[in-house]
Order: sequence, then structure tokens, then C-alpha cells
Amino acid sequence: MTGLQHQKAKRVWAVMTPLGVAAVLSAFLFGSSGVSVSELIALFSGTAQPGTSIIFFSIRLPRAILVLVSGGALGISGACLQGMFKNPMADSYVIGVSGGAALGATVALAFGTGVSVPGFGGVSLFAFVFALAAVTLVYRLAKIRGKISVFSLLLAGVAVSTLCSALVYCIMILFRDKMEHIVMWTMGSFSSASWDKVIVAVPAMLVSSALCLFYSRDLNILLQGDEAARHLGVDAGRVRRNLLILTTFATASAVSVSGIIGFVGLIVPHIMRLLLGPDHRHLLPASFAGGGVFLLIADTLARVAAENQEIPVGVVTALIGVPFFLFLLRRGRSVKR
Amino acid sequence: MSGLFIRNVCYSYEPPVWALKDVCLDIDAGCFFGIIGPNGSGKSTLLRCISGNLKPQRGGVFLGGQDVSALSVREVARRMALVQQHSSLEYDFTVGDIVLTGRNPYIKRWRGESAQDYAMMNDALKTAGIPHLKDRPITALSGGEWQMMILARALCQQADIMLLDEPVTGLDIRHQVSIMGTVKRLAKQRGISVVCVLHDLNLALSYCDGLALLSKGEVFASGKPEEVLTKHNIESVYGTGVTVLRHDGKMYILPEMDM
Repeated sequence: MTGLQHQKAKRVWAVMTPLGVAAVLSAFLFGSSGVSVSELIALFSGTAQPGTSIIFFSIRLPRAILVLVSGGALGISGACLQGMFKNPMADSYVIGVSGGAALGATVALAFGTGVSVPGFGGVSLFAFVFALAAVTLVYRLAKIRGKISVFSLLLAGVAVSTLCSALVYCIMILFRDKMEHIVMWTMGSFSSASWDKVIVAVPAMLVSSALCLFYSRDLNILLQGDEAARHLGVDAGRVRRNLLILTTFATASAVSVSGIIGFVGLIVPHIMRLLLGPDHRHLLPASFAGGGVFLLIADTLARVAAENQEIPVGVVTALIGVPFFLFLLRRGRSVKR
Repeated sequence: MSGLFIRNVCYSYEPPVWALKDVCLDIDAGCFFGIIGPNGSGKSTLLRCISGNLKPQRGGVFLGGQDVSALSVREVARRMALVQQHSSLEYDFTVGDIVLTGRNPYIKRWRGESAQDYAMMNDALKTAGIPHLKDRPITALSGGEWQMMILARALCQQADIMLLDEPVTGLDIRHQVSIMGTVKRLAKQRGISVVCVLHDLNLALSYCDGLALLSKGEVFASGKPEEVLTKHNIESVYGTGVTVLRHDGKMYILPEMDM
């Protein structure tokens, strides 16, 4: 790796580290009931009021952890998928994770589930299982004569996602009383964050994200084409399958505890690629950190923007994400011309 | 160092049409072997069967007694390097980055490149005659420079077999000669076996030690270049008239043009 990329990476981390610290601090301090800086210091020295202590340790801290790691999982998964499909518009939502999760959550909300893993409600469980099932279905559909083509995978993903949302709408019409719950869930929110969710989902997301890092060099080589990659010791089919499993696991875990939060997996890897270049050894960890920080800022905004109520965090990320997405679209077109 | 033995290879993309029918060839270690033939005659399919990218439905390709389709991906990469037709890649890697990927088959998943790998990259750049391009972004390369980079990547791989698929198609004559010349020199010096798909019959005549002329998926003729590229063979396979010239003891093939 050339010195230039190392320098770029150093600069990006030099900006991202203080930004991350600031994001974490503001997540602790701002909210419907304020926590002041002096109270925060008192918390760490053990002399805080019990009320503040409860707000911090049972609400703000688990939420911040869940948001950071979920954003990271979405960011690193997006970076992996864009790299392995050589397609800048790929993210795990395109291949069925969000469609499946939405359907699972809708089924659970409408019919009730009667099951729950300790700490992990029936809705989360259904969302997770349906997300995995949807991606498996997409993968099976896209596999033609033992080979997976990028286009068949993306097309199958769009088809299955569309089918899932059609079913979601059917259920919403049949169970009108549950409609608001369903809509709120699909817009994404961390308002129900708890230590139970942290304990179940965070290790799953951290482990699968960390395993993705082992494929950084493979991803770089895959960009050179499947046949060339094979002669450089990279089995394109196996790498894609393994990364698909890891990223689906990571994003399905994130979605199951937060609902559908769009654009983190799409725009964060893009920003990082613009800043760092295409080397996945830098891009993947930076996308994890960037995704976490971006989502934490968005979540804090979602909590404090409107008085007495929370805006769904998926709405905030989309409000920031859509203009950027359009900007990239325009930019891509002018480059091609 | 080992030769390649191609035994009764049959391959079909869409049965019952055979893209390759019963192809048998022996390619000795250290030989520069050319595969020629008209478009659609099965040249690239044959190269893909040799590289193990396609698995023949019948027959097989053997490398030192082993069926190549049974080799692991890493094993394939350590033994056979591939230089494809010129393409491009819209990502901002440097030439050094791409050449260094030739070391990948030797590096463990959780390890980085060692100082020795970097030394090999520099050596490969020097051998290919492009040390000055090391820090150049690949998006700023000409077609000829790109192919020199891919050749350097193949050198970095230290494989004893080099597969080339139309390596100089679309390049200017200086780059054609310099790429073919570098490969030829390496075949001689390091005993690397080269299998090269070519369109240019005169390049095939000048650089190859052995040739196979394919026609409709079958070997029409194989052997020494002068024996394979006769007026009769070329005219019956390509379906167009040619003039064979001799100058200073070398053969040249010119197509007859009707205007």
C-alpha cells in the first residue's frame, strides 16, 4: 500500500475521532431531560443524583452503544456489498434484508407472536428471522446453473423486496388498528433501546463486522474481475457467499433492534471512498466508525429536534441521505459523459 | 517446472453444441505455445479449460500429473498466472498496489505483505520495464502501460505457467513487441511455460515455439509454427486467401485483399 493512502487514512481518523467523541458526548448530554456536563462528571465519580444516574445508565448509555454499533454494522456491510458487487448502489437493503425484516415485524405486530428470547422481543425475533429468510430466498433465486451473477442477485432482491412490501400493505389494511405501530416500526427508531437488546444484538453485530475485515484484501482483488481474482488466489464465489452471510447477519441484527434505517449503508461507504480511496483495508474500518458516528448524530437529532416527541431516526438519515444520493447520481452521470 | 497435458478435452456451453471437441495437446515445460484460429473457434474456451476456470465435461487438463480442475484456488494461483485482454478499472489504485496483488496467493488471510513481497513487486516492475509507473494511479494508464502492469503482476506471482489471452490486441506495435519479447525472454530464462491466445499470425510465427490452429472447436493442425501456418491450412480454416512471403529466412503472412 502506498504512503499516500496511509496519509489520507491518518487524516480521516484525525477528523473522525474528535467527531466521534463529540457525538458520544452530545448523545449523553442532550435529550428531553437534560444532563449537564457537571452531572456527567459526577456520574463518573459516583456522586450523581439517583435520577440522573438512571437516565444515564439505563437509557442514554445503552441507547448510544446500540446506535453506534448498529450504524457501524450498516456502514461496513454497505462497504462490503458495494465492493463485492462492484456496484456503488448496492447495500444489504437492496438484497432483501429490509423487505424481509419489515414483513417479519408486521406479522409479529399484527398477529402477535407469543414467543420471545429473553431481552429480545417477538417483533425483533420475527424481523431477524424474516430478514435472513428473504436474503436466502433472493440468493436461491439468483443462483442460475450454480453461478450467482450480480445482476440476477440485485434483480431478485428488488423482486422479493417488492413482494414483501405488498404483503406488508395487505396486512396493514386488514389490521387497521395496528397500522400506526407497523408504520412507526418501518421508519426506524432506537427509542426502545435497552441493555437486554445491547447484550443480544451488539455481540452479533461486532463479531460479524469484525469477520468482514478478514476479507479486505479479497475485496480489493475481486475488483479486478472474477477470473483474474481466481488466478490471484481468491475464490470469488466463496468470498461473495461468506460476505453475504456475514453482512446479512450484521444488518439483520441492526434492523431487528431498530427498524429500517435507510441510507447509512449506502452513503457512509461512499463518503469514505471519496476521502480514502478504494482500498478496503482502510475503507471497511472507516465505514464502521463513520456509520456509527453518523447514526449517533442522526439519533441525537431525532431525539431533540421536536419537543416532546421523537422523529424516527430513519427519517433523519433519509433527510440527510437523499440529497447526497442525488448529488452522487448527478456526479456519476457527468463523469460518464 | 512442469508441462501441460491436454487430454480429449470436450466443453459445451449449451449442449448439444460442442465449443471444444476432443482437444489433445502436449505443452512442454519452457515452451512458448500459441493458440490461434478464427473468432469463435474455441481459443478462449480452451484457455479457460487450461486455467481451470471451466471444467471440461469430458477429458481433462493435467499439470505435473494433477487434474487442474481438482487444484485449490490458491494452488492454481501459485502455479498459473493469467494475463487477460486489456480492460480497465475505475478505482484509484496505484500500479504498485495492483502488482503487489500478485503476492496474494502466498500471504495468509490475517497477515499483511512482508518486506520480501514489496521487494518482489519492485523486481517485477523492473523486469517489465515500468519501475517509473509504481505510484501512478491506474486510471491514468495507456493501454500498453496497463498490459505491462498486468504482466508485472503475473511476474510477481512467480508461477511456472503463464496464460495469456490476446495480450497485445489493440496495442501499438512498440508495446506489442515489448510485451511479447519480455514474455519470450522469461520463458527462456526461467523455464516458464507460456500458453498464449493470439490473433496476429505474424506474431505467432515470430514468438511461438509451438502452435495449435483451432477450427470449430477442433485442433486442425498443431506443431512447429512453419508447419502449422501453411497457405493451405490458413486458407481452409480462415476461408480467405493469403500470400506467404519469405524474407531473410523468416516467413510472413499477408491476407489477400479484394478491393
